[in-house]
Amino acid sequence: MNLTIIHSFSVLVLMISKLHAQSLFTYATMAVDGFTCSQCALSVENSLRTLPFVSSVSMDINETEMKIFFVNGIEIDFFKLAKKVYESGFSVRHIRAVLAPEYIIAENQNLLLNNNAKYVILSHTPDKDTLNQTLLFVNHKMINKYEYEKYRKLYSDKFSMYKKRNPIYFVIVE
Amino acid sequence: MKAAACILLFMLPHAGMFAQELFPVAEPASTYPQKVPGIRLTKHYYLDQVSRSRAAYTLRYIYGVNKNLSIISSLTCSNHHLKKIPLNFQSYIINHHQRGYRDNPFIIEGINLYAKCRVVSLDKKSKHFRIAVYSEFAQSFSAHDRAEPNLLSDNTGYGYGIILTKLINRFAASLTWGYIKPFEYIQNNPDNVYVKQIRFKSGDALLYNASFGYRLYPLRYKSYKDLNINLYFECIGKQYESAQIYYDGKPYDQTILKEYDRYGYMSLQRGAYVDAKPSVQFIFKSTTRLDVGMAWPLYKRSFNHTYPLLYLSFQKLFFKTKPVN
Repeated sequence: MNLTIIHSFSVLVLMISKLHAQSLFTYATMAVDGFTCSQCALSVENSLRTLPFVSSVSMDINETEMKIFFVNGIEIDFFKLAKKVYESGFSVRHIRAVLAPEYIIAENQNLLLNNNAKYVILSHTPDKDTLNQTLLFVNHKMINKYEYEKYRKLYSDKFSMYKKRNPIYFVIVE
Repeated sequence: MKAAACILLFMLPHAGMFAQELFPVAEPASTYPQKVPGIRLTKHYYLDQVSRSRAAYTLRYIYGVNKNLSIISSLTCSNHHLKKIPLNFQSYIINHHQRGYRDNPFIIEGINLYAKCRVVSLDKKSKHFRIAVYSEFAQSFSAHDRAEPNLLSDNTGYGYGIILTKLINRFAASLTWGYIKPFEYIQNNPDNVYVKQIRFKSGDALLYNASFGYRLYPLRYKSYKDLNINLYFECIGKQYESAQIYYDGKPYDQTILKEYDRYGYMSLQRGAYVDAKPSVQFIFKSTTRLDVGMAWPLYKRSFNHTYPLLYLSFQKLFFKTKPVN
């Protein structure tokens, strides 16, 4: 029984690893706190565009939210995305990444591997259509601090289990 | 000025939408974009008490060192002061504010290095509260002859302070409290038989600013190319000690000036004032800024300049990449 689970899991990991040349995500949305003007928005956008895995950024200045599109074949580092926002002098409100249609996360799946990154799935939004699945990142500094504290308390066991093994992304499947 | 104050007071209760804190005069607690250089050229202009043109040009180089630290270095050129205090000191002090006294030439007045470090940053959607501390050092190449110190160009010295800035959508408010310590200006004239040494020290000062900003246009952004129009109202205050003057080592009796030149006498005494500085700001393509403003006395007055004081400022930030849309 256990061997079957391990085998299935290995196949899944292998499948994802083999497909790594294709991007796991279609795009991501990132909301930023702390600014209201176009000068600040431009500073954040330009900062993000220096990252090699970012192909383009589309900013909604009024909502202080942006769509980030990625370069195919280059591993996406969401920690670096968040870091760029803080380096620009602002804070991340949330990061949501839309999975490419060929990747579907099953309801009982709690881990997703892609290249060097590990996505620890904390929960699934129930009764959600499996098309256009979105991952909400709940790592420290990837979501506003009140939300982060909420998720850290809610899933303290998983947070402590993976604490020192980066890069680990803690995500909610939406 | 009253009209500008009325407009601002009208806007304050409605200020729950979007905001600006790119104050033309005071520095906000927020820092400049990281690793983005910028320049700002400012002109201050006024007619002195005998209607002579007085102007100061300040060129600033701005740089965001990291997310918490920004530096600004400034070079100021003006026709406010002479390089040295003339040896006929008393005559100069009494007469140089009078009509007919020759105009001062434009000289490089001084340099200033200002560093601002953000220490608290609380961000929410379209809101933030920030606290920064700053310090500055100035080297003057001219002879300042007033009690009120000015570290931008007039005095050699140092200063430090704290800035609190709150941004709520369209509205921003900022408070600054600072201290200014001017060093003594010493002029040795070893070859002169009458005046061997002049020493002049402007008073130590406290400064306190309250700045308010409001984004008038656009109501909603369409792109980075949208013209921004921001209104500001700043109250810039200072409180300073009397000047100390030593003439060949002996304290100079400033009361002599009282009957000859009241303005000159007052400019050497301790004082406090608050200037009201309303301004309009235009931002082009999110990178280029033009500020136009004037200053009037709100409480007492400054003796470093007359009123109205006009200022015009142009700033450009040099981002490495350009926006797509």
